[in-house]
Amino acid sequence: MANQFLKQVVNKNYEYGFVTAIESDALPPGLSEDIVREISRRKNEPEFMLNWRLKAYRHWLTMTPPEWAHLHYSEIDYQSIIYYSAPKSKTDGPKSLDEVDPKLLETYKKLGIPLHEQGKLAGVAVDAVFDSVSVATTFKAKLAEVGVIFCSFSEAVQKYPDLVEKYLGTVVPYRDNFFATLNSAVFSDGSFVYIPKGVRCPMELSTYFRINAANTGQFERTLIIAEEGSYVSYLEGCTAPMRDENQLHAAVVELIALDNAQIKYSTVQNWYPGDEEGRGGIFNFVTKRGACRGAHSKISWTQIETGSAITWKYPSVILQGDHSIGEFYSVALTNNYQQADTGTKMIHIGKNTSSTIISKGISAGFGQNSYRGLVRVAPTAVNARNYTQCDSLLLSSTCGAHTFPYIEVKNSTAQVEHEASTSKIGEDQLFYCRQRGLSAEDAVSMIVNGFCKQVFRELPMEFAVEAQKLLEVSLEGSVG
Amino acid sequence: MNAALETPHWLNESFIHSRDFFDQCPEVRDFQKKQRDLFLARGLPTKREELWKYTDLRFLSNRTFVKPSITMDVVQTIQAKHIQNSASVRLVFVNGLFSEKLSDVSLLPEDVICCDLKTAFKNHAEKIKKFIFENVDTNRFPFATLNAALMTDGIFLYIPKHTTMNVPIHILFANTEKNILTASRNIIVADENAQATILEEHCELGGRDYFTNVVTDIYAQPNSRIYYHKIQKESLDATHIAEIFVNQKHDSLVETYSLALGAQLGREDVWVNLNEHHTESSINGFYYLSENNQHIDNHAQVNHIAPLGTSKMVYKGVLEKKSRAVFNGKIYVYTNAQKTVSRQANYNLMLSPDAEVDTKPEFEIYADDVKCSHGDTVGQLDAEALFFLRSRGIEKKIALQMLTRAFAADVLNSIKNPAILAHMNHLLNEMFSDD
Repeated sequence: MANQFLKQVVNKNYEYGFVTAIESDALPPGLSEDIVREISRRKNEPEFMLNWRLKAYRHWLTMTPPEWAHLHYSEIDYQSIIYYSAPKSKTDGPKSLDEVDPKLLETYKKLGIPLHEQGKLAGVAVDAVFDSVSVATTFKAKLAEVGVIFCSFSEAVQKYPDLVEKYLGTVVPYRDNFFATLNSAVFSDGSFVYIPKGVRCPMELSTYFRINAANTGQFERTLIIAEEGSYVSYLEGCTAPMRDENQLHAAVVELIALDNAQIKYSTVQNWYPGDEEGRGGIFNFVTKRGACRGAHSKISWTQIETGSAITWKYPSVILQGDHSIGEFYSVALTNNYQQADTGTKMIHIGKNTSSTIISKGISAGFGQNSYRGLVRVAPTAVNARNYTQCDSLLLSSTCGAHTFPYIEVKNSTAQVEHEASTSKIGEDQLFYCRQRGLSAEDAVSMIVNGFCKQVFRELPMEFAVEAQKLLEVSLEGSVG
Repeated sequence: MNAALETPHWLNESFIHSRDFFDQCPEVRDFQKKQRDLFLARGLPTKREELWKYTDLRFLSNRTFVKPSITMDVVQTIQAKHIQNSASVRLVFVNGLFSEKLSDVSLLPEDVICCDLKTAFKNHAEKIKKFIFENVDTNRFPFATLNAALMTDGIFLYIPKHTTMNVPIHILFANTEKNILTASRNIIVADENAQATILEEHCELGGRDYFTNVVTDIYAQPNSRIYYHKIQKESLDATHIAEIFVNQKHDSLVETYSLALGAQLGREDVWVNLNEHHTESSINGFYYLSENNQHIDNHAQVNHIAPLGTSKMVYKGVLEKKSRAVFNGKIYVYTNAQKTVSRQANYNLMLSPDAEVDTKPEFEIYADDVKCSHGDTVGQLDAEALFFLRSRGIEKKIALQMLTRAFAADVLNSIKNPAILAHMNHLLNEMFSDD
C-alpha cells in the first residue's frame, strides 16, 4: 500500500527531471527546490505547507551560518545531508537485545531503565519486546476524552490544517535564523499539541508515548498551543543515550500560551557526544521559543543538556501578555570535547511581566560551556521584573566556562538583576565528604547534584531522578 | 572589513598629511603612515560589530573636523579647573597642544620624567621609543590606531625605580574651539617599586562639537603601584573616544577610576593585561548622564594571563532624561591563570522613563581553580529609602540627590587621594546644582 503510493509519487517526479531509486525510502543527499517539493509531496501536504517550505528555502539560500557563538566546528556541508528518509522499517534494527552494543546496555542498567524500554531505545524491533503500542493507545483515548490533540506533526497537517496554518511560524517565523529557516524548509516531522480552552491536560505529555516517535528524524518541528486557561506539561527526549546516525540536528519548537494558560516544557537531551577524543557526535542547533500571548500566561522551560558534541540552543519567551511569566531552568554539562553555547532570551513587552533565569553550567575534561542570554525590557513593559542567576562549575583545568549575558532595558520602572559565579568544587567540601567515607567520585556527584538542585526540582519527579543519575554517568571518569 | 562604514571625508589624505608635528622624526612619520593605512583599511566600526552593537558612529562620517590650535587665552578660566587644596604637578593641554605657560612642574622630583611628547622625543628618545611604537589590534581598537596616525600631543610620565610620587600629577586637557579633532597619547610608566597618582582630566572651556580621541598606556613594572583617575567632562555636544591600556608585571597594583559626566557620545575602552603573577587590579567607573541623547559606552576587559591575579571591576551609573548607557565588562582567564579571583559589577539607576541601559557582563574562563563572580542590576531608587527621607521633612529633590550621591559614593569613596576625591565630588555636585 505504502509502496504503491511511493511509487506513484516518485513516478510523478520524472516530469521535473528528478530521479530517485524506487527501492530506497530516502531521498538523495543535497538540498534543492525539488527536494523541498518532494518532501512536501511525500508527506501529502496541503498547498500552504509547500508554499511555506519554499519561501523558507528561498530565504535560506540568502543566509549564512551564524558565527557569533562560542563554538568551534568544521564547516557543515549542507549538500551532503539526506534531508528526508522515511521511518526505517523494523527489520533494520537489531533482532534482540543480544545484538545491541553491550556498552550501551551497561549505561541503560546504570540509569535504571526497564528492560522493555531498553529494547525500544536501542531500536530493537518493537514486536520482539514489550508492546508499547498498546500503552500509547490507552493514553490517546484518555487525552481524546478531554479534547487534547496530541499527534505527530504530519498527522496534524492532514487532520487539523486550519490550526497548523493559523499558528505555524507565528513564534519562530521562517526567516528567523539560519537553522530555523533550514528546518522550516525541510522538517520531516515532530509533535503537535493542542489543549482546548480551560482544559488541564490529565497527564504529562511525552514524546516517549507517541506512536512513531522514535524516528522523527533530524529536522523536528514541535508546535504546542495552549488555549485560554489551559495547562500542559510536555517532556521531550529521554535520559537514555540515543543512537542516531544523523550528525546535524536542527529542530524548532514553538509554544503559544493564550490568556491564563500555562505551558511547562522539559527537555532532557542526551545524544551522542562523540568519543573521548572528540570524534563524531551530534551537532544540535535548536530554535525554541514560546510566546506568552495572553494575560497571566506562563511558559516555563527546563532543560538538562548532557549530550551532543555541539549544543546551540536558546529557549526563549516573548512576554507579550500583561502579567505573563517566563522561566528558564537549565543544567548544561560538557565533558571530553563537548561544546555548549546555550541560554535564553526573555523579551518583556507586556506590563508587569516577570522572568526568572537559573542556569547551571558544568564543564569537565576539555569541555567548553557558555551561557548566552538576553533580557530585553521594551519601553512598554512597565514594572518588568527579571532575576538571572548563572553559575558555572569547573571540574578540570582544561575546560572552559563562559558567560555572555545581554541586558537591554528601555523602561525605567524595570528591575533587572543578574548574578553569576564561576568556581571549582571547594577542596573543603570534597574533604568533608571524603572524610565521611564517600569515594571521590560519589562526593563529586553529590556536590554536582546539589549544585543543580534548583533546576532538578523543576522537573517532573521521575525525570528528576533519572536526570541525577544521568549526570553521574556523564561525569564518569572525569574526576580522579 | 566589508562591514566597515565608508571612510569619513574629513579623514582624507590632506587632513592626515597635514600633521607636521613629529615630522622631524622619520621613525614617527613612518609609524604614523603605517597606522593611517591600517585604519583606512579597517574603516569606522559599525553597529554590526559586536563591540559597537549599541553605539552608532555614522554621524562621524558626516562631520567635518579641523586641525587644533591654541587661539584663546585661558589663563584666567583654567584656574578653576585646578585641583583645590592640594599641591600638584600640572600639565595643561589646550586643544590637545601642550601649553608650557599654563603648566606647573616645579614639584617634580629630579629623576622623574614628566613632559609632553615633543620634549620627550627631544630629551628621552630612547626611553619613549620603547613604548610609543606599540602596535595595537586595529580591528579591536580602531580608534587607538587612528590616534596613533593622528597623534597631536600627550604626556610621557616615567617614575624611576624606588620612587614614590606623593604629589598627584594632574594632566588637564581643555578644549576651547569648535570642530577640532585632538588625538592625545599619554604614556605612564612606573618602574620597579615606584608609585604614582595621576589625574587625567578632559574639560571644555568654550569648545563645541569637537572630537577628543585619547589613548593612555599604563605600564606597571614589578612591585609598582599606580593610582590612575580620569575625568571626562567634555562639552555636551562633543565626542570623546578613549582607550586605556594597562600592562601589569608581577606584584604590581593598578587602580583606575573613571568619572564620565560630559560628552554627547562618550566611549571608553579599558584593557588590562595581568601579564605576571600576583597582580592586583581595580577598575572603577561612574557615569552620570544628564542630557537628552547623551550616550556613554564603557567597555572594560581584564585579561588574567598569569596565576594569582586579583581583579575587581565596578561600574555604576545614573541616567536622566533620554540618555543611554552601555556597559560591557569582560573577565578573561587564561588556562595558566590559576587561583584567579575576580569580581565584576555594573549597577544602573534609571531616573527617567526614557533612559536606556544595555549591559553585558561577560566571563571567559579557561582555568579551573578560580573564583569569579559578577552582579548586575538595573533599577530605580529604593522607594522606601525615599519615603524615609521624605517623612523626615526632606524635600523630594534633595532626597533624590542624597540617595543618588550615596549610590555614587560606593565607587568614588575608595579613591585614596583625598584631594582628587574632593575634586571629583565637586564636579558631581555641580551636576546636581545644574538642575
